[in-house]
This record gives sequence, C-alpha cells and structure tokens, in this order.
Amino acid sequence: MKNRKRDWQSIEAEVQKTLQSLDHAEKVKAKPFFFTRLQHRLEPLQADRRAPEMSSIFIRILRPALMPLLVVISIGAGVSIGYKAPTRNRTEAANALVEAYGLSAPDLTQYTLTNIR
Amino acid sequence: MNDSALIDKLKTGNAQAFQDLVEQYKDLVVNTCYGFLRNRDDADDMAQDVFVEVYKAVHTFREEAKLSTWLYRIAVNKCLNRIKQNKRRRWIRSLQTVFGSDEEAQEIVDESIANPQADLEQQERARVLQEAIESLAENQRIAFTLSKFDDLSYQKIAEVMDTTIPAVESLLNRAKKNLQQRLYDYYKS
Repeated sequence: MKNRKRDWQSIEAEVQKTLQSLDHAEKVKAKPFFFTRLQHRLEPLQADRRAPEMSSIFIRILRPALMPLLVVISIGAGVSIGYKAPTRNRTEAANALVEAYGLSAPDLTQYTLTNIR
Repeated sequence: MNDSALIDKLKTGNAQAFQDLVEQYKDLVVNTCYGFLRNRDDADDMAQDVFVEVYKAVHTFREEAKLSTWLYRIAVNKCLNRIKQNKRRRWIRSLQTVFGSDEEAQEIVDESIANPQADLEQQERARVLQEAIESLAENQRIAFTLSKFDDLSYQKIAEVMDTTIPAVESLLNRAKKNLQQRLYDYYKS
C-alpha cells in the first residue's frame, strides 16, 4: 500500500516536472536577413502586380483614343472603295434594271455618285 | 505608426509599410510557428509563408480584428495545415518502409532533441511532452500552445480563435487534464 502511494507520488512528481518545463519554454526569434529572404520570395508576386498596371494604362488612355481612329479609318476605306468602283459596271446595272422592268425613267446614271460633285 | 495607419498604407501597396510590418511582427510570428512546429528552420519558413499570405490578402483585411490577431490566425492555420501534411507524409513513408523502399525515413524532430548538448533527461521530457501535445484535440492544442508558448491572455486567445473567454478556459482545463493523463500513463508504464 505504501509502495503504491510512493509510486503514485513519484509519477505525479514526474508529470508536474514535465509540465513545468513549459514554464521556461524558449522564445525564438526570426533568423538573420528574414526580410531579405522574404523579399526574394515576393519578387514574382510583385512582377505580376506591375503587369496589370500596364494593361490598365492601355484600357484607360489608349483604347478610348483608338476607337474614334478606327471608326474614321473604316469610313475612309468604305468611301475609297465606293469611288474606285468602275462607272461602266454601275451604268450597265442601271440599264439592266430599266430593261428588266420596262422603265421609261431617265438614265439612272444621273443619280449615281459620279454625278455628285 | 499605429495599426490603422499601417493597414491603410499596406492596402495601397506601400513597400515601406510592408517592411515595417515584417520588422514589427516577425519575431511574434516565428515564435508562434515554433510553438506548433517545434523546429527552428520550419518555424522560420512558415513565418515567411505567413507574410507572403499577408502580402497577397491585405486588401481583404476588414479591420474587424486587430492586426496581430489576424497574424496569429494566419500563423495558426498554416501551422496546423503543415502538421496535417507532415502526418500524411509520415504515414506514406511508413508504408514505404513496410514495402521496402530504399529511402530513409526522416523524422520531424524537436530541436531540443536534435541538440546534442541538451541534457538527456530534458530531451526525453521534451519528446514526451511534444507527443502528448500532438495527441490533443485541435482546439485544445491551439489554446494550449498560444497560452504556453506565446503567453497570450485568455482574452487574446479568444480573439484569435474567434470564441469566448469561458470557452478558452474550458479548452485549457481539458488540455491540461488530458496532458496530465497522457504523461501519467507514460510514466506509469
């Protein structure tokens, strides 16, 4: 009986001693050059952040300027194609219409673009 | 610079503010990670992971909690994820050992055990204690580690764990009882 009590007491003492070792637990600090190493890890992320800045400049400034320019170029291309179309083809097409529908109207060429100056 | 001003600067991507944050909190984060991982190199690496996470996520920080609370939360979550990963790896390595893999099993060892100058008795106590703490339920382990290794108050632990002070007290009581029982069983055998 006494031995059992002594055993229990010694076990209890060991348990408390082990738990008390935490009271003196070592506090650790960061190793040297912590921030320098961290910076190295952040470099890819920082590069990714810079790339979207360039695209935002494109969106905010260049795209609004490009849109009217594209519209003007499109109109100019359309007009240019219209002027270059051969007169003979338009005259033939107009006469074909007159023949097909038996029109007695004046020559349609007077209404085509070549007569508009 | 107070936390609020620091956070405002961090959200604008101010590099100096981020450096100030790291210098101010790096030891706190490393020590917290060490409390869970019990390895100096791992704790340092994990602390770096924590600050990378802060860098990426600072614009989502809503300032409902203090900056230090947020840092503790990130550190605790990352450490617990690492511990779970390590357990899976150990399990896989043990399978490999059973099936005769040539790779040597690498144990994750507390530094006090790895330190040859540490007293043998101290080494044994540290090992037994580490195993006992690892056997605790997750919430008990978090509360106990933050209390013993970070010296956090019940109030602060409650903030980090997003719970109440009575809940923290209960967790710590249960943790202590479970540790005592575990250690008793060890020393009895």
